[in-house]
Amino acid sequence: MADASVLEKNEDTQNVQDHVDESIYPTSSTTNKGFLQYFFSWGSPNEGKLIAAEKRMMSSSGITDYKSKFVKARFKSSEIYTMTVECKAEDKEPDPIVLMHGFGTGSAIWCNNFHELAAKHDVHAFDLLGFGRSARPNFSSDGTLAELELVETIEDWRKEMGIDKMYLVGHSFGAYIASSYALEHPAHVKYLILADAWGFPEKILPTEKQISPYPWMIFLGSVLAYFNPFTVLRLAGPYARHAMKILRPDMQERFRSERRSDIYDYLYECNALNPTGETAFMSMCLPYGWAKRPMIRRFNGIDENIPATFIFGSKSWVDPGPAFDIQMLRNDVDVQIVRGAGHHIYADMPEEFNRIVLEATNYSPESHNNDDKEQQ
Amino acid sequence: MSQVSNRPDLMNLSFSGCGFLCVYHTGVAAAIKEYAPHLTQNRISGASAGSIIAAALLNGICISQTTSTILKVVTQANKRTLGPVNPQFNLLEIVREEVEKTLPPDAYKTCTNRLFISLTRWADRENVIVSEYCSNEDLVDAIMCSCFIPFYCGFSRPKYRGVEYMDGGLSNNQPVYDRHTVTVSPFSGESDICPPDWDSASMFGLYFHRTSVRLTTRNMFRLMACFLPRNAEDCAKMCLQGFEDALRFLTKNGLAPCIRCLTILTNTEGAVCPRSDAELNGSGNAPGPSKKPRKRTPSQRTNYDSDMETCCESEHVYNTGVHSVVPPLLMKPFTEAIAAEQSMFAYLFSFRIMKLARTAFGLSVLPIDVAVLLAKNILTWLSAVAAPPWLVHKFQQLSHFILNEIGTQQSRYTKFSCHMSVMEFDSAQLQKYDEKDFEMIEMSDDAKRELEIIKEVERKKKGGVDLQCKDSAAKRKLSKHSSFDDASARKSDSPSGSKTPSTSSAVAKDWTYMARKGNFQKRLILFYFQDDVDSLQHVIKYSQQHDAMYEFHYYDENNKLKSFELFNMADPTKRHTCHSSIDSPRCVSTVLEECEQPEPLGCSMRRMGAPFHLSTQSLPVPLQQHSLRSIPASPEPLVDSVERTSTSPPDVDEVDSGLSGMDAHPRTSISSNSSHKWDRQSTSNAYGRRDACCSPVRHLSSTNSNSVRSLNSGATSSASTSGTLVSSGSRKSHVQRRHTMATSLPFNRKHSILQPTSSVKQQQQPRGLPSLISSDSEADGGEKLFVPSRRFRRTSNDYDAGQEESDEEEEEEKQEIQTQRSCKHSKEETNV
Repeated sequence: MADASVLEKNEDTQNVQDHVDESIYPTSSTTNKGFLQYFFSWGSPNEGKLIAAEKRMMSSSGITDYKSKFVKARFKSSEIYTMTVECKAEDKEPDPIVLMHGFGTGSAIWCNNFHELAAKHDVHAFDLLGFGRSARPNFSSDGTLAELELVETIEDWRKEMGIDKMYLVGHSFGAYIASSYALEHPAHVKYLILADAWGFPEKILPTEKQISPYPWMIFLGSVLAYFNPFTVLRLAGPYARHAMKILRPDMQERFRSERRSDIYDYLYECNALNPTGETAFMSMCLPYGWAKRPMIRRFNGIDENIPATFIFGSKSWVDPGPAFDIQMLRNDVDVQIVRGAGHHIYADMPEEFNRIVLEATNYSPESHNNDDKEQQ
Repeated sequence: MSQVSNRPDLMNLSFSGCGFLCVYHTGVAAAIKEYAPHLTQNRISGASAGSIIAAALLNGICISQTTSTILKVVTQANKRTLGPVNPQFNLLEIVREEVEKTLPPDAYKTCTNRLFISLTRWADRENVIVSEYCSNEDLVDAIMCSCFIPFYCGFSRPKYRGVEYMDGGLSNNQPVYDRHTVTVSPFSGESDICPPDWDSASMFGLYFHRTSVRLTTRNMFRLMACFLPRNAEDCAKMCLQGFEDALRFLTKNGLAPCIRCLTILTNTEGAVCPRSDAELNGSGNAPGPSKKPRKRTPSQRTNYDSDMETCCESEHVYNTGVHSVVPPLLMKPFTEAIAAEQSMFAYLFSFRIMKLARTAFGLSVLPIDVAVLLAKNILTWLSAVAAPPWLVHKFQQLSHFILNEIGTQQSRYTKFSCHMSVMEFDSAQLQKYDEKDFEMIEMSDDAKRELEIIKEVERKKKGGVDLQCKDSAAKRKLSKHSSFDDASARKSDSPSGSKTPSTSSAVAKDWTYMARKGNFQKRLILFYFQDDVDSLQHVIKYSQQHDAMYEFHYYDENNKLKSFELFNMADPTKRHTCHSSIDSPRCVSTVLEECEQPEPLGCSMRRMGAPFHLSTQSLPVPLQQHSLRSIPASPEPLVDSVERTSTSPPDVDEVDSGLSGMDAHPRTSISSNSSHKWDRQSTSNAYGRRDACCSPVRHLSSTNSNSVRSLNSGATSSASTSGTLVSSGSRKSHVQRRHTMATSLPFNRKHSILQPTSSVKQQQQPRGLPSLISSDSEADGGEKLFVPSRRFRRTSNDYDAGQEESDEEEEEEKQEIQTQRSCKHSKEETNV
C-alpha cells in the first residue's frame, strides 16, 4: 500500500511537469506542413501519447525523479529535449554521463540504464535535433553540413547545460554523431563509449560467392533504399503501431513497461513527426545504409588522449571490424563484445552494458599507463 | 577486446525453420561436427526443417550425405512445373522416406531429452515443444509435424501422438533453451550464426516468430528461396555460406583457433606483426587506413584469445572464381561439337518469351496432373469407404481409365518425362563420362598457365599438323556421338564402358605420347607442376589421397553433376568413413544407394567419373607436412631426380608460413605429431588445432561412433608399398575401375597429362595411399576442378582477398618463414 501511494504522488508531480512540457513544446513540426502533406496525413501526431509513453517507460524501470527540460540551441533557435537523472550519492563526480540515442528513437530508450549509471555521475540524455521530442528544423541537404550542424547543436547544448567534460555514450547513429563531436570538440569529451556504432565501415561490395537475388529484387531494393526509412510507418498512420507489434515483437521484450504497447507508442510518435532528422540521416548515407564519410577514415583524427570503448552485441549485424582496426592504431581503445546481445545492447543486456560504461568512467589514463610500464 | 558473458561450455544449438534453406544448416552442422563436436553432445533444438538437421547432428549422421540428399530433393522439386507446389510432388513424403532411411534404429533414445522440436498445435495455434520420443516412428512423426506447412506441403494434417500439428515455425521459429543458446538462422539478422550480408548496412529488420530477419535484398531472396528454391546451385552456395559463418562464430568464441591468429601471436613477440593488421582488417573488409604495418602497443591486450576473436572473416573458405580450364586447343573439338548441336535450341530458349512459353506449357499440363491425382485419391478413398460393390467397381473402372489414358498419352502431353529420366538417372551411370562436362573443368590461372606450358612443349615436339588431324578426328567422332540425347547416350552405354573407344584413344594418344617424351620434357613439366602448388595435379592427387571433410554434390540446371569437397588440410590422414572416397572396405553412400553398381563405383563421385568441384584452401600445407614426414632430410634443389622434386618441392616450403606460427607454440607442435595417432584426447586440446579460418584442424574421429575405421595409416602404407596386386577387396576394385576408365574418353586425356609425375610417385612414395599407385589411377577424375586462384599462401594474410603486398615485405616474410621452417625441421626430426 505504501508503495502505491508513493507512486501516486510521483504521478502527481509528473503531471505538473507534463503541463510545463507541453506549453513550451515548439510547434514547428505542424507549421512546416504543405497542403498535400496536410491533406494526406492522418492528423497531427499526438504529443500527449508520446509524453505519457515516455513517462510510463521511465517509471516502470524505476526512474520517477528525472527532470526534463528544453535546452536552446543557436541553430534555427531550436530546442533540444533533455532528460536528467541526478546522482544522489554524496561523493558524486563532477563529470556527467551523456547518452545519445540511435536512429529513429528517443532518450527514453535508455530507461533500463539511467538508474545504474547514475550511481556516481549525473546522467543526461538528450534527443538529437530532428528526433524524439526535440525540435525539427530542416537541416542542410548536404550530408557533411548536416552533420556539422548536428554537432554544433550538441556543443550549444553542452554550453547551455554548463558541462565542461563529459563521458559521451552513443548508440548506433548516436555513436557516429558522438565521434563526430569528439573530432570537433575534443576538449569536452572525457571518454567515448560507442555501442554498436553505425557509419564506421567503408562500403563493402558484394562478393561473388554469395547468392545473388533475382534482378527484380535488386531493383526493388535499390528503389526502396532511396526512401526515408520510416516513410512506410508514417503512411500506415494509426495502423503502424499494430504492424510494429507484429513485425517487431522483440521490442516489447526489450523495453518492458507497464503497458506492453508503450514502446510502440513511443517509437511511432517519435517518428510520426516531421522527419527532418531522418532526412539529414539520409543525406549522410549512401543507399543501403552506408555512411558517405565513414568514421573509420576520420576516427584517428580524434585527440589521442580521448580513450574510447567500443561495445558490440555478438548477434548484432554491425561489423566490429573497424573497431579492431582503430584499436590497432590508437592507444586506449577497448573493444567489448557482449555475447547474446543484439543491436540494442543497452536493452538486451542492461547489466553488462552498465557495467562496461561504469568501468569506463572509472578509467584513469595514469593508472593504465602504469600498468603498461609494469608489463614492459 | 574481450567477450562478455561468454560460456562456450554451456552453448546449445538452435536451428531455425527455413524450408529448403535448411541446406544452410547442413553447412553449419558440418563445421560444428568438425571443429566443435562437443556442441553436438548438448541439447539441440529445431523448428521445421531445422529439426531434421538437429536430429541428424545428434545422431551423428553423415552431414555430407544429408546435404547431397537435400540438394537432390531441391533438384527434384525444381523439375516440376510449379516447383515444389506441384500437386504431384509430395515433399513431406520424400522427406519422411529419407529421414526414415537415414536415422539409426536407436535414434529416439539419443534424441529423447536432447532434441527439442517446436510444433504448432493445429487446434489453437499454440506452440508446443516436444523432447520425448518413445520410438523412431514417434520421432519421425514429430519431425514431420514440425515440417508441415499447411497448403504448401499438402492438405492432410500429420499427427504426433494423435494430435494434429503444423509447422513449428508458425509459432516459434527459433526455439531457445536458455541464454546460452546459439541461434542458427539462414537469414541475416540478429542470430549467432547467420549470413552477415556485409554488403548491406540496413538498420531495419523484423522478427518472424523469433527469427530475426534484416531487411536486405538478399534476405528477401532467401525468404522466397525457403519455399521456391531457384536452383540447386544457390542452395549449394547457401550451404557453403553456412560452413563459413559457423566457422567464424566458432573462431570468435575460441572454439576453433585460427591459423592467422597463431601467426600473429608469434610475430607480436617482435612487436611488429607483418600484415596481421590486414588480417584483422579482413574482419571488416574495410581497406581503411591500414596499409602500413601496425605496431601493437603493449597497452593492448595481446593475449591469445583476444587475437583469435578478432579474425571474423574467413573469406577463403571457399573460392568461387570459376575459370574454364584445360588447354583451349583440347577443348575446341568438344565445344564445337556441342555448339553445333545446341546452338539452335540454346538460342531459342535464351529468349524470355520462350521460357515463358515453356512455363505456360507446363501450366497447361497441370489440369491433367490434377486429374491423375484425383483419380488416385478416389482409388484410395474407395478402398477405405464401405460402398456397394457395384459402385466401387464403377468408380474403379473410371479411375483406372483415367490413369491408363493419361499414362498412354503421357509421351504426347509432356516432354518433361524425358527430362525426368535424365534427372533420376543413377549417378553411377555417369561413370561414363559426359564429354560436355569436360568443358567445364575449372582451374586457377596458375593451373591454366601450367597447362599452357604443357601445350607449348607438346606443340614443339609434334607440330601442329599432327594435332590438327587428331582434333578433327575427335571432332568427327564427337559430333556424331553428341547428337544423341545425353540421357539416352549414357543409358545405352553398358556399365562396362563400351563408349567410343576409338575417339578416346585418338585424343588420348596426344597426351600419352607427350607424357612418354624424353627426360627433358618430363623434368620441365615436373618443374612447372611442382612450382605451382595449386596445380591441377596436386589437387587431383590430394583429393584422391584424402578424405574430404565435407563433401556434397548436386545436379545443376543443365543436369550436370556438380560436387564440392572441402578438405581438412591440417589433418590429412583423418578418415571420414561415412562419405569416404578412398578405397576402403567400408564405403557407404546413402545418396547413391539407388545405384545398382557395386561398391567401387558407388562409393565416390570421383570414382564414378563425375565432375567435382574441389576446393582446396591450403593445399600446400598438408603436402609439406607429408613430405616432412616421409623424408626428414632437408629438401634439395631441383635436380634430375624426379623423385625428389616431386616429393619435396622447394617452393612448397615458402608456402607454409601460415603454419609457422605453430613453431613458437610448443603445444601445437605436439598436436601436429599426435595427429596421426587418432588420439582423441590430445587433439581435442584447443591449442592443438591449428588453423580455423582456413581449414579444419580437429583431429577427432568423426562423431559417427559406430563407424569402424578399418584402415589405419600403417596398414595402408604396407599395402601400397608392396607394389603388387594385393588381393584385398579394395585393391581389386581399384583395378577393375581402371579398366572401365581406360575406355572412357576424357579421363584418359587428363590422365595422361598427369602421367609422368604420377608414375614417379609410384616408385618413390613411401607411404602412399592405395588409390594412387597406378599411373592411371588418377583417371578417376572427370573432375571439375575448383582450384583457388591464389598461388602461394606465404602468410596468413594471403587468405584475405585482395590484399596486395610489396616485394620487400614478401622478402622479409620469406626470411622469417625460412627461419621458422628450419626450426620446425629440427623439431620434426627430433619428434621422429
